[in-house]
Amino acid sequence: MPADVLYIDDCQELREIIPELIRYNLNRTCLSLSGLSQIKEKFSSGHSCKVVILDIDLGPGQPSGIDIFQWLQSQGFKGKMFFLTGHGMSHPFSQEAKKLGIQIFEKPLHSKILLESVRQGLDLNVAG
Amino acid sequence: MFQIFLLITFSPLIALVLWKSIPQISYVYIVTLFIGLVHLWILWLFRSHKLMALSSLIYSLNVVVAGIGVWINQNTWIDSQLSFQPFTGFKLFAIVVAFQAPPLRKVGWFCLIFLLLTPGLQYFLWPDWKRNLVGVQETWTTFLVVTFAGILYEQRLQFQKISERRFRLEASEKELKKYAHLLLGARHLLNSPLQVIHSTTELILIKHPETKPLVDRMQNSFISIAAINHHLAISESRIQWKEVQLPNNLEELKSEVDSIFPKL
Repeated sequence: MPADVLYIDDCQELREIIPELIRYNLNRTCLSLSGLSQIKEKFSSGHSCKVVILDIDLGPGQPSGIDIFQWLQSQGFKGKMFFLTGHGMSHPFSQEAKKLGIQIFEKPLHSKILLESVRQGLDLNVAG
Repeated sequence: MFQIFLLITFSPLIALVLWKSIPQISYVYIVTLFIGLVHLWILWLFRSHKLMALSSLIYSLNVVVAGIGVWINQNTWIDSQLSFQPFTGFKLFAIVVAFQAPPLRKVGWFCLIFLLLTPGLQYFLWPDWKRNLVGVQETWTTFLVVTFAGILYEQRLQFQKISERRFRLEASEKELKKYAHLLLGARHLLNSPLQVIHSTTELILIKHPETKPLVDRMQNSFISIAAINHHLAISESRIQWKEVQLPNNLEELKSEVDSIFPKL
């Protein structure tokens, strides 16, 4: 999977715009996917991903962003991960995500903050 | 209704029991039974109207009829020279009134004051030999029991008032929760499109820098929208998430709106 950033969301429009935004601003590649099954498929052939942005609620009956986070951890993923959720902070999904100890952002997030977080993840990884 | 039920049920029984020994009392109970049946018939006729005034009037009439019956029976018992418990009927009726009189204060207190004054009046209208037979303490005992019934009645009304207030509060809280849920549902569905709009304006700015004045206006408006959106989340902490499921699409949101504001 030749991409620096992985973006997971069930919203088609965001899957199109966020990678483009990252590409134009940070000059990095971003792959967007909609769920766990797609990630499993992409990761099976190796990856160069350093940052993962996860939506938490990926639709009814679908594995959540938390499930993906745990799967990525189980695969030994060492890059930066953070959540970008449409739910409020008191929603059970957000509460569950908080327990994981990683950053959660609420949509709509100012693009500068989003890009800064991605940039930090990329720089940290380069430094490490 | 309970009052009438008592009259209709017990009147014929007492009338039958006393038929041979004290027929005068049986007549009183038969008349009481007849009046109770007439009241029941009136209530049946107006059952669909559910008139509080009518049922209160009938209730008061029943108490007056019962009180007059007790008045007549008192005299009959004394005249028969048999031993009896004076004013028991008044005391029992006062307790019944305390527990099941209509929740209109004037109706309840009319019945109680009637039951309070009637035994006293009867006592003072009796000749001395009858008074001596009963004893003045019976009047005061009846007075105390009826007063106690009055206190019980007041407590019942207070309790009813508190219950009604609590019920109203619970109902309005339920309504508020529905609105809060609706707001959160709408907010939940708005968040991703808002993110799309904002990120798109950033892209437009990069690809077409000459559009900056226009994009700036859009982004300024977006700040207001984002602030409003943030304020809509104020109800979020009051939501019992285990009991609710946020709408996943516009159809679900629409059906939620329809359930709160049903079409007339």
